[in-house]
Amino acid sequence: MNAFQILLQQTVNGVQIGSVYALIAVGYTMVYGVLKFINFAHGDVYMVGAYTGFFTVTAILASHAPALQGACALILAMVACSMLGLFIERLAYRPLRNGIQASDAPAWALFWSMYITLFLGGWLVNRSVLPPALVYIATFVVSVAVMFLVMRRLFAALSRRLKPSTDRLSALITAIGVSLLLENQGAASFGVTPRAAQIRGVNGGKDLVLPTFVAGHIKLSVGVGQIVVLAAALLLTAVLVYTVRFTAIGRSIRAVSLDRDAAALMGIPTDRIIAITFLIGSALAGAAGMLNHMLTGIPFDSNIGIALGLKAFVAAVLGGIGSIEGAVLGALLMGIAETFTSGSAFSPFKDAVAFVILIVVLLFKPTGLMGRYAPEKV
Amino acid sequence: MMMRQRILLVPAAMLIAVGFLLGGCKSPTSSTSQSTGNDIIVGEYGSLTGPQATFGKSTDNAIQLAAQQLNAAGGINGRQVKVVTQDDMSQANNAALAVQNLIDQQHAIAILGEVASSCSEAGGRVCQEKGIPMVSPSSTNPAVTEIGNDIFRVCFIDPFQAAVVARFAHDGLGATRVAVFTNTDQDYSTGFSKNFIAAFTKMGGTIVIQKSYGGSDTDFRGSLTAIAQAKPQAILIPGYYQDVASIAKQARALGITCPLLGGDGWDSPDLIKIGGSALNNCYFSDHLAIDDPTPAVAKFVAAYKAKYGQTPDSLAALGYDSANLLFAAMKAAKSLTPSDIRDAIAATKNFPGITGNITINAQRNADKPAVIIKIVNGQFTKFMSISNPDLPLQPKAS
Amino acid sequence: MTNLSPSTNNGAPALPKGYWSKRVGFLIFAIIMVWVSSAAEHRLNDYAVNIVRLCGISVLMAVSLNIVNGLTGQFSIGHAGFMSVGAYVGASVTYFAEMRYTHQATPGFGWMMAAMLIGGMAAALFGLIVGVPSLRLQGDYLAIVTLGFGEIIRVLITNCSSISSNLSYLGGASGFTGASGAYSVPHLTSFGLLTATVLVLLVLTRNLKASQHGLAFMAIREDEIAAAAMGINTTRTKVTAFVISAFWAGIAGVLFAHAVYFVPLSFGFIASMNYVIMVVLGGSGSITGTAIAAVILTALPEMLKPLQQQVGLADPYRQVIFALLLIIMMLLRPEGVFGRGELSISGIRRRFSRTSRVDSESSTTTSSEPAAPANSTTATSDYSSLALQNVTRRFGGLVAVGDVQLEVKKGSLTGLIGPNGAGKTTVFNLLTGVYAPSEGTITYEGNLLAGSVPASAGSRAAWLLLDTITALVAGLIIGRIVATSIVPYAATPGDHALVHMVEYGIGLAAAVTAAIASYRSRSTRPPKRPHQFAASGVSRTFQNIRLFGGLTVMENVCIGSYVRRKTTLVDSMLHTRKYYREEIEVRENARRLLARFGLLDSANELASSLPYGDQRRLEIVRALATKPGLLLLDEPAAGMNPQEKLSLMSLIRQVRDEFALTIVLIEHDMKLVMGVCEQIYVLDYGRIIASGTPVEVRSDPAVISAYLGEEQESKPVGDAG
Repeated sequence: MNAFQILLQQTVNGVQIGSVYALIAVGYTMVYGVLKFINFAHGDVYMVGAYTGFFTVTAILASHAPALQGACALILAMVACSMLGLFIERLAYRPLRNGIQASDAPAWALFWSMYITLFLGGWLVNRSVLPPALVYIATFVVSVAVMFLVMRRLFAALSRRLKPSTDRLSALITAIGVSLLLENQGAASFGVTPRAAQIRGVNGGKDLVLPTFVAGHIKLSVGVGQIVVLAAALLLTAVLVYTVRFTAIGRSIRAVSLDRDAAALMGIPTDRIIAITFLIGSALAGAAGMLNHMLTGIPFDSNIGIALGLKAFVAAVLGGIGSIEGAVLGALLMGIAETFTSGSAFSPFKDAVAFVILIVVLLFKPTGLMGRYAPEKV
Repeated sequence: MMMRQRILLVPAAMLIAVGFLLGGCKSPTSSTSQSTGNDIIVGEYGSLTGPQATFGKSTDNAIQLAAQQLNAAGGINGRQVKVVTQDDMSQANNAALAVQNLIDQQHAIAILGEVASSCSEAGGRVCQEKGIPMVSPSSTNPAVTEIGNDIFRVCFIDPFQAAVVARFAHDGLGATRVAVFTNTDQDYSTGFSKNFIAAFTKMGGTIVIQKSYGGSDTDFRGSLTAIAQAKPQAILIPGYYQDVASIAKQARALGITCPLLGGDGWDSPDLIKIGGSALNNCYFSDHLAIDDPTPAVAKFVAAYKAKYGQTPDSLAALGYDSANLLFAAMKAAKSLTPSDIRDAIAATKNFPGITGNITINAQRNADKPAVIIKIVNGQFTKFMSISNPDLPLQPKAS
Repeated sequence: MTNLSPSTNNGAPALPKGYWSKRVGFLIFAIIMVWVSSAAEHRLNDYAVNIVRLCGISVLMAVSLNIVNGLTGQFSIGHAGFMSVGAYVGASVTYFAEMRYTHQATPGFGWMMAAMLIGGMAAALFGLIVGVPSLRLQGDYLAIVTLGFGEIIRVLITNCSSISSNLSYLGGASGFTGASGAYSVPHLTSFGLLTATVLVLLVLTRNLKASQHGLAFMAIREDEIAAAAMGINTTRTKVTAFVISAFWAGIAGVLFAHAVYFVPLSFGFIASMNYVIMVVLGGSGSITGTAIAAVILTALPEMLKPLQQQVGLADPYRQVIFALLLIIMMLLRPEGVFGRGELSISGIRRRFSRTSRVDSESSTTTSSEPAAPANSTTATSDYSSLALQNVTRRFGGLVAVGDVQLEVKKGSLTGLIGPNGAGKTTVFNLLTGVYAPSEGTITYEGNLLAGSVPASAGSRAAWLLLDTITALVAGLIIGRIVATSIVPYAATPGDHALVHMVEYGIGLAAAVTAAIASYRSRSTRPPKRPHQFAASGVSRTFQNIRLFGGLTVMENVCIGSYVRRKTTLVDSMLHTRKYYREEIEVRENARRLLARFGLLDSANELASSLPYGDQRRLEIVRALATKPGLLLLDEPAAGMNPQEKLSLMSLIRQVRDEFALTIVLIEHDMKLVMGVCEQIYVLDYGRIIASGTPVEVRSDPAVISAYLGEEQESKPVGDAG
């Protein structure tokens, strides 16, 4: 291989890594744009997306056509993760932002009920003649009802005493708490052994590359999975940019991200817009998790989101946090820089490169590559 | 005088914490304490959560299986053995704490653990200081047993394993140009690479290129593209199986066709499940071949499968051996004091483990041959056995 | 410091009561604590000893992080990086001591002290390297840079042997190994040493928090722009806080390394987060709170272990419970257990006895006492104190202020009026260094405050050299990455030539670009920053009030004195005599000023809790505390009723006379301006359209048409509101 060919091949490799970062980074940047806080749990939503894809492919649709598997896994992962995103927002972030209110009771009742069903239900199953499914369902229904009443009373009492928090550190700690919760509950539920599965239809599950592109002397190898990830990243980002730029919901999202209070005064339901933002961002992270792992067969465990999430967040900051196009640009740039470093004599320092680039860029452009500069009015 | 009062409180809070702890330890100046009650307490520390949890869990499973079988067969001199497990969260500083807890709070008279060498070193130092014998199932870094005369292991060490693989690459494959791809986040991987390079270059081979990756990487194409350009005859990947499987797939995708080489970290049924055909005609060194039809291995595999519903990997096999070797030594020991147990372990000769016959040598490491396993059509098959990597191999037709 | 006795005004103030008894008392207390803890060490088993040690180290980490995150309000989440620097450097010191000097014997206490000092200094140096560039960034950007720094340190240490084989004794992924592989870091972290270190850090931090320097830290947390206007060099103060914090993290690292036999690599992101959690749970800003949270969060997981084993929960659930507790804690008490307050025995007693806090000191100074006038009744001189020449400021294409010529006579009271958006506040921002003028110069008392001055040839050459070399090094590294990446295995001479060509080509290109950019951009001196304006005697108030809301009224005023302080940071941390003397002076001065403006009764209230009019007056008091020569008041009477306005205006005149000030004020209320000012400038669309005495301006046709033209031609200008 000559130098030019390697240059091209490494760029292609870099873009492939970058497109995974991009899908995660877009969610980060949206939530940050609207709420101005780092949602550390975002990487763990990616993890849940990967597990959803895994169980769809290996259990639910194990013997179906690959195309159906792929489509269903993608939809299920996006739906599951958007629900998870909504749930996290209702459970932790909204009560923190607005102060605990009686309206937060359903989310918490659901949350406690899941654990009650898991432990109490498990205990009851061993001591009952009824079929286990019935026992679990009954436990769940009863505990939801009881916990809802308890939580509503409790939260109504608490809401009189608690004030909403505007401190960003406490928001960050909450996000870390959610992240730890997801990671360890993931380990408890799915086990600590890495899982891996690949949708068989990706080149018949055998050959893992497209027939290499050949143009003259240049041969490039590109993974099928990676092409799909890249295409999906570009497509989903394009849809998102369109939504944010040209639709009513997008306008509301932009309004909320510029000034939440003013947006509320203009009649925009800010809480709902924030929830929608979480929903969209989490769906994208779920899509990223499913695509990256189910198309390429890369193994993962419940801690997969930590490192990837961190990298994706760095990409979002690099691109200018709050800017969707910036997140994609930053992610691609980081993917390419990492690939080149890992192929070079500096290959041990690959993981530091992302941060070095970040620091250098922030020195010259403190708001990232495409971030808007908003000086504080004096 | 607010200043003094405020400051008073923080040390006071620390003292309260101390008090809590004191409440928990009945004999603060405990020396080599005998086990309390009728059960014999053996401590085990391992990574049950965190990034290394998958290794810790299978080792723990096998140790518990060994203890269960021992107790079912009557225990040691009629006393039951209780294995108390402490999680070190895959962190070395927690490993030290876990071992202190096992010895000081649980009164363990012998310790089993860890897989990761960095954790074994941390825990081993504690054991050595307290004079409690420790048997590591699968830490291959030589530094572990160099800590002192209380620390043993049932596996071979990195220099041996790396030299075996180097000998195999040079003589068995006839390779002279080899690339090395190291996980720099694991001392297992860096140590293996270092020893391999030393052995291989001594035999006259060339390391054409060395690249590295990190523990959280999932995409290796950048380094592999560079390795492909150097056109090696074989690539050494001394990592763990989940990384190796991905690396193999991506290497094949980039048009790398040469055989890949590795060590015992490869041994897991998941290697083939993840990597598939990409791993065909690759080789790795191991403690035993699970396909080896010795009755002891078959019995262990069946018992493990029955209890945990999955096929054991080599870490489980080593965990099983470490526990059984310790139990055998405890039976043979003059009395159940730590020093007598230590002497009994040190005197172990030709213990029939499932990973081969184990003899504890003067450096407290296990003397046993390494097996080279070849992956043929997704099956681990025993290719050859190497007991002395310093001697050239006879060319072998397979 | 709460017990400062009121002192006599003449001569040097006496030391506060109990100055010596406090010190001796603390010393005795510290000795007892060290003795008790040393005795306890031998009574406990190793497991308990280790946990207590880890608790102590966590206290050091959390309290030192609190200096940055709590007091200064910056957002650092890479604290463990500094700990690892300290740990590795400290372990290296004792390692070499053992290998070279003590010849296999365990190094003693002296070496440990050296290791702590060197480890702390090394971490502080890293703090400086990280802090100087990154502390210009705000909030989350700073957070991500500190996080990145922590990761960079981890990667560097992991791969130390590929940097240089001389560094391979650091051990890479195995943790600190020494050359032999089985080296144990000596056990030098005794309870006594740890207790002493914790006590020293607690006392120094507490002293700092109560001092002028601590107030400066907190002022930055409350409002960075206002802090700069009060003469606080915000960048430097932030870097100072960062370096102090890194120093102590380094010491904690050394103690850690010598407590656990080895230096593990587990100083990553998760460890840093643990310390942030301690700070937030304890209450960021509260020293005692973070210390207690550090102890609890370190010991609790260990204590939960037996419980978990008894219940038979799977291991991950221990972490699930921790995470859940974290979330619930944040929902119920987001400001942390102690908020910003400190836990103190007298505080507890107060809470139980429910007596309100009485400021005994305020009653000693009667509020009616007239302030000591400086050269009172200075008549307006002809000497021009402030001059703006051809000042223009553009924002992009928009000219906010264009070609402004303005002269203010010493001792005069000048008004700046104009319709909304005329550029009045921009002029103030130019006068206080918030913006630098695009063109033109500003001189104050004959000194050039703003305006482009050609840089000296020497400094230009030095910068050129520095910029070029930096770019060359960076370019060569990038060049090497690209070159070795496209030619990973150079076999032929052609390959080698290509590698060198790419490598040197990129390096050279970077150097040339940087040289050209440096030559162009460094041609003028960098503009002065707001704190330098304040130091030259220009002080201001803000149109939208910018008090330090989380601090008391008294503290707000004391911050004003920061710019004239004579004590150093060391004085502040040790509470030296010099510190007490200045502190008494500062408080006395603040009390006098507050009394003059009728705010003394609310001296101990939070500034944010004051009524609106009082907040405006407090801003003036705070500005006066900087002892300015020129006071800029931005709409001082905004939002007041006519009665209040009138009394404020007369107060302003009196103040001008008493303190011998030159005052420029912006005001919408024409009537007031006309009544109080001697000289008036009228601004419209960024340009001065008229100037002169009130009478002259009032009859100026340009003013009438531009300022009030459309509204009511016939009505006299003076009545416009």
